Amino acid sequence: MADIDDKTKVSEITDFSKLIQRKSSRFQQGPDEVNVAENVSSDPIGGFGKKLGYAQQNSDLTSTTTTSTSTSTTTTSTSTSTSSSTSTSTSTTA
Amino acid sequence: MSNILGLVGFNENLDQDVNPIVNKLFAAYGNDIVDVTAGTGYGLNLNSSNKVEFEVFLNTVFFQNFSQRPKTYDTNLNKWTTKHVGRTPIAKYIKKHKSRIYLGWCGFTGPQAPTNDISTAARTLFPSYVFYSDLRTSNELTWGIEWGNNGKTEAGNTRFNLAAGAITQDFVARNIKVGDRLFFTDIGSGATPSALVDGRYFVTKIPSSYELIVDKPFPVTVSNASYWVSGNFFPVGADDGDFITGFGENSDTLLIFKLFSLLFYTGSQLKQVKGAPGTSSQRSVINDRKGNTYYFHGSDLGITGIYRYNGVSSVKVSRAIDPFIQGMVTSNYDDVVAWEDGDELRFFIGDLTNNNEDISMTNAVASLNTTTGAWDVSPIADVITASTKWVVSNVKNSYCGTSDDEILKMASGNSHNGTAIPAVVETGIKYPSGSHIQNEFLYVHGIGKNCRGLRLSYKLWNKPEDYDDRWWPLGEMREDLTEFEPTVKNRHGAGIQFRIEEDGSLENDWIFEKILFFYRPDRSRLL
Repeated sequence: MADIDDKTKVSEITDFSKLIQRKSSRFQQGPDEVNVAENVSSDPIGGFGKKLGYAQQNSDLTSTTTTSTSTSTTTTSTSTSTSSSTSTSTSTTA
Repeated sequence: MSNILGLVGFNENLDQDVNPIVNKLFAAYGNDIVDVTAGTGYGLNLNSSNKVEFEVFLNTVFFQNFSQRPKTYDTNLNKWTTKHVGRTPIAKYIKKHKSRIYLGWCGFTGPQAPTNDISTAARTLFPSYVFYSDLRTSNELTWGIEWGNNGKTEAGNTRFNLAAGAITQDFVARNIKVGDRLFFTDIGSGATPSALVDGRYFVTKIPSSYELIVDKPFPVTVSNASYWVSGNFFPVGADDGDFITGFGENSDTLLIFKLFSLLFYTGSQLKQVKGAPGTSSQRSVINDRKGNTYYFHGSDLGITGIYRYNGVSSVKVSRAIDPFIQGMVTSNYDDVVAWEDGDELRFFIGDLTNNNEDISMTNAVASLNTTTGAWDVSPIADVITASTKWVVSNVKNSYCGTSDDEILKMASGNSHNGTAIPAVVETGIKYPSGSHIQNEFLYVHGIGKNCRGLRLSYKLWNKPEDYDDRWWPLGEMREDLTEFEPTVKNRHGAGIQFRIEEDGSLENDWIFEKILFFYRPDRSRLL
């Protein structure tokens, strides 16, 4: 590491907590903001780490997926009604 | 390869069932609903590629695909039946709220036969109406609605009954109530009987399952009128040319989204959130754990983005990533899908291209950390089409469906289902002496934990009139603190920018904490 003489200065970036800010001009961007953040998380306060991934749950669903023994059944009974004001129909189940 | 059309995690409430508790993850895929864990379907023969929406209510799962008669899952029989949805409109959107279930962008199945799928020619659609269920008072949920094309009226008479023939209607069983409204939409010949359609009829008596008495005499005699009768509905700005696009829930109010407006329903009052746009994608609506509802709105480029509704007002919160949002493909506006990973809300926004901002990304996900307010926009390896929460061993995880037959458990592992995850951060441009002072950048320190293998590079800006058009490598982190030295060929400029990256080969236990750079102001220059 080089010695720091009276002409050499140090600057630092210690806070990444806001991650992306692309709406500001480069001069208005905050000290804790960045231009690009891909697959990182600001969860560690001030710093950043890598996001978790994801994993497949069971195998691919396929179009040949077997059908379980249960199938949906719909029964509809119908009846007739007279056109008079008093219906003689029996009940209907949909 | 097919889209996962819908996804729902179902954890049965044991209190209501003596049988072994049922925990299932259901995916709508191809022409069936599939039990993801078992890998078996139910033989439902779904006839549409519409998105499938599920909702868990009354210890069962409700299914809607805006095409076929709705169904529910029977935990005891392990099959999908019409229990609770005996006479229920089809709908694009479904939402449980308090003790009812609500439907938006609705239609009826064939006016006569509820077992038929909708017929495009005959269907009656309600893009801006909400229909809702009755409170459950018996074993079977009712919806307080009936419809058909077999209505009979007689001029001068207040009696409405049904024409002879096969009848599937039942005003009593559907829980039609005094005060419900009777509407006419057509007569059998297809002409519109304006005298009937324009009339407003209120039910005053339900003498039988097939007969109603209304509050005033009918003006004409018809024998095969198309009609519907209900009190379980309310219009949502039906005349504004805008359609319902989704539901949400905030505190104790039901949120009703249209594309250009957001309304909330208290159970008795419907009010609009002033100035708030709605959503273009139901699946983008998500709550944090602080009482806020977030959603994506996509329309005019100037207002497209992610909004936060806090119960009072709605504001755009994604301005920081506007250049990314503006790179979206507009056809993806209605396909945005949100899910939760810990403190982060993640929104799948698809491919991005914004040449002016040097942005090009495939399968982008915009993520907001609701604790820190940080945004990142990250590529992933899959196209996300649906999401849900599911509890396994007392842990509630997010699961997503993809465009290629997969169900993914999110926030898990160190890869995107086997694909390495590259990570990148590019800082802003730092002008340590101001933009008018040229500096000589001598050394750079990278500091972090477990950072061995992270690569650093840099660009110089305003040197004095041009800037680097590529990243200059500094090297790899060797220890928790590693010193780098910019090449002597390129170390003079007013500003400096850093890039920290890894190609996905590292474990995700590293934390990058700090960059120091040593510089020497060497001259002042006025342009």
